[in-house]
Amino acid sequence: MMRLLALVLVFLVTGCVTVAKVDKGQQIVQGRLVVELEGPWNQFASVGQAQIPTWTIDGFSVDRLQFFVGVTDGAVLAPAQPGAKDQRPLVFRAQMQPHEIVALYETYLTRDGSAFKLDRLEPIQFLGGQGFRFAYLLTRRMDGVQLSGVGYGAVRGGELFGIVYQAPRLGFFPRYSKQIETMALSARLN
Amino acid sequence: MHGITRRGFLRWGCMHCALVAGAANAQQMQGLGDWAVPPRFAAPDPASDEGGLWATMAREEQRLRRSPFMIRDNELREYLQGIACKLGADHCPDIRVYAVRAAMFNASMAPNGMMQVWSGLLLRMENEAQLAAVLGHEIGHFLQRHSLERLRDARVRSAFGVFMAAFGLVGAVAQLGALAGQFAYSREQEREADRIGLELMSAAGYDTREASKVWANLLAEAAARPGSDSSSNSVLFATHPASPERRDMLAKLARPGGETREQAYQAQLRRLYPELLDDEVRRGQYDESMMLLDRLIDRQGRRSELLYFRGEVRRLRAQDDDLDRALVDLRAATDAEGGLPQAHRGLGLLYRARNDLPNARAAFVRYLELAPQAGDAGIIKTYLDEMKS
Amino acid sequence: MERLCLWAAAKWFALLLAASLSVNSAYAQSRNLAPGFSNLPRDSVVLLAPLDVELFSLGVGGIPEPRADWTQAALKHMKVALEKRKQSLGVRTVEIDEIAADDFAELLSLHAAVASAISAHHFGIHALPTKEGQLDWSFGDALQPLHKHTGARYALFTFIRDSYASAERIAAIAVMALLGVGLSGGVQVGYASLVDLQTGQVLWFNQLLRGSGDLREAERAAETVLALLRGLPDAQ
Repeated sequence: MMRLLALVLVFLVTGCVTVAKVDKGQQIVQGRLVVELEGPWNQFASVGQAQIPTWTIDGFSVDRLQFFVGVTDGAVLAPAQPGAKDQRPLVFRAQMQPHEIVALYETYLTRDGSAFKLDRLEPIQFLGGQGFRFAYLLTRRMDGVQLSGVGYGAVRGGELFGIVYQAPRLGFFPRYSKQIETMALSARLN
Repeated sequence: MHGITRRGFLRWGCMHCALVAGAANAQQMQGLGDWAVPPRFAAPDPASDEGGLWATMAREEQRLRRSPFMIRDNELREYLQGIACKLGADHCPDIRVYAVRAAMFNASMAPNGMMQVWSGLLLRMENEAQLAAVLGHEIGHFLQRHSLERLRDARVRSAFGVFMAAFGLVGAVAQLGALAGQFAYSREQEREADRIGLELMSAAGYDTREASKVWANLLAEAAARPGSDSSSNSVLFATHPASPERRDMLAKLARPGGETREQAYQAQLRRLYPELLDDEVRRGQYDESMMLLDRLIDRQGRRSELLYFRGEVRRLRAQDDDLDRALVDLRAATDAEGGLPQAHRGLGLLYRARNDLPNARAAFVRYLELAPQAGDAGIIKTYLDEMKS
Repeated sequence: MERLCLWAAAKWFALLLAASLSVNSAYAQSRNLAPGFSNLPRDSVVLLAPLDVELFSLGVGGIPEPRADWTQAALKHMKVALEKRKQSLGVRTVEIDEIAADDFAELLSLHAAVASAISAHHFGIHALPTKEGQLDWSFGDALQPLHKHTGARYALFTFIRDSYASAERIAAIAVMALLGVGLSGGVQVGYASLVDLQTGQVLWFNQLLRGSGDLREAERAAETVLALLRGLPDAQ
């Protein structure tokens, strides 16, 4: 009962959820990141999450597309959770190397005890310059669902830009990964 | 008892019943007056509160069996089951042990016989006797039906209800610290379980002096954290808070003699090390991890794997002389017999951070030679190329 | 912002309660059906996934406590009611036992996650605009192993969490009512989904959210099953 309600209540309690439509075609995220969308998306517009625009096709318990746009040196990606004794806030530093940025994201994903396994980390051209792409498998602690993820990142002028897509490894991720790749590799900065 | 759990057990459990016959030795039970192992429990009336608890636990057991966090290594499962069976004697057929991948120090036993051992605990045991102390303690709670006693306290039951309804036993890692205290066993129950645990250990031929060391090690690790009230700060030990009183009582009650079976235990753990140590390092609690790794290296010697992880912890903690010491550990991890590819990567990253480019290049090249198919080979090549220009 | 959220939440519950109380309307029915789907072919083989049901007792403070005896009773009554409904539906059913279900754990957990999304976004106020009000979810080829193992082309999944006020809770409700405060006496939350295992399409989905219903007794459990499967079209 509570797992279902918890998932649903998360939307009600953690900032008020409204879901807006993002039309296909060109979209500009946070005024700076220009992406070309093959189809429409649903955007999670909430007070608390303003820094990390989050989109979905099938719902947040299923798939999730996150944008990191111009995260500055010293910015807190996620605060230490209240009541979680062991945690420190997650902070981005401009001099972080790709493997450190991925490690930071991994910590963000695994705070609830989920298990993360990095499959690949390689250089790519992203946002008109040097960047990196990483692929991972996440086993969600709460319900045991296995999710595949792909992320694209680059640091420009000391700021972090990234696009990360995550969906169930069976049936969902394979369906959208090409679309995501096309969108990420053609993304540019304003 | 839920039909499923019986069938599930029979699939791989009962071969261990044979071990029980030979294990009991002649030592008399002492320190517990006229306590004796109770006879096997009959399945409770489903309508009773005990029956309800069993059935609820059976559901959790089913969830656990389906969870990707249950460790499916058959050799480990049989090994753990064998220990529980030796300790549980006549109750062996009613006990089912599950190893769970979770980086916290935790072991528990539900009134229906389902026992969980979390990987954070497995990592911290030095030998089979220490694990037997923990499992024996949990079996003690089981034999004395302590959880039923606790759950009859309505206040505890409502806290338990929150726990079960919200998270179940499987999904709870992050919340465990907050909720575990609310339905903990009473001091008297803990003392009783400690004593019974020692008796079961002794009857199974284990060295009872090892029980106290479990708590001594825990206390040392908790104290490693900077900050005042270390043991309450660490979520690592939330379900089994370490106390000097228990350590001392167990030391007093222990008797010389018996086995530790250190080699057998370490042989099992070593197969799991890369994954478990990785989970440990990722906790980001470097002071605690350092204490643990120092202890493991002290016991097992300078094995490459252990040196690699300690080097990584130092590299990540990066305080005081950590980086210098990390270099020493990582270099030793590459020199030692069977040098690990990832130790070369760690060295490369370290040298690179210190701007020692020739050594960084050499380390990265070696990493790529040893592990050309590594997932991060692409980015390491990039780092290498950057250093060439 | 807080008050807006609570108001939105209240509106959501009210809408859902209204929806569950309303008579079968064409609108209600189309919300349950995937576009292009009207009914199963007669004698289709449907896998009855293991019923995911749990009943709770609500203590004085409103904390739910699992009650295994009620859950066992509910499972028994639901199976009987489903058996009856299956005959009027015109399909054949197969089942997998709980042991076999262990091997399909990942698929079952995947289904649960998708069902959560449908519950939250198709029946709640947080609709996903891109779905345009349609029941448009698919598992792709993810569920084909279930199809291969059981021979069933379709599968029916059911999920219920149901809470009932304990005697103490009922007393507390009475007291609080006198003070003008309404406390919930228990909530029945659930869903049922019909999925095409080969194409992965979610063909039919129904949500249950109400303050009534009693799965502990045979007759009332049958009513719950009817409510759960309301709108599931007979095979033709």
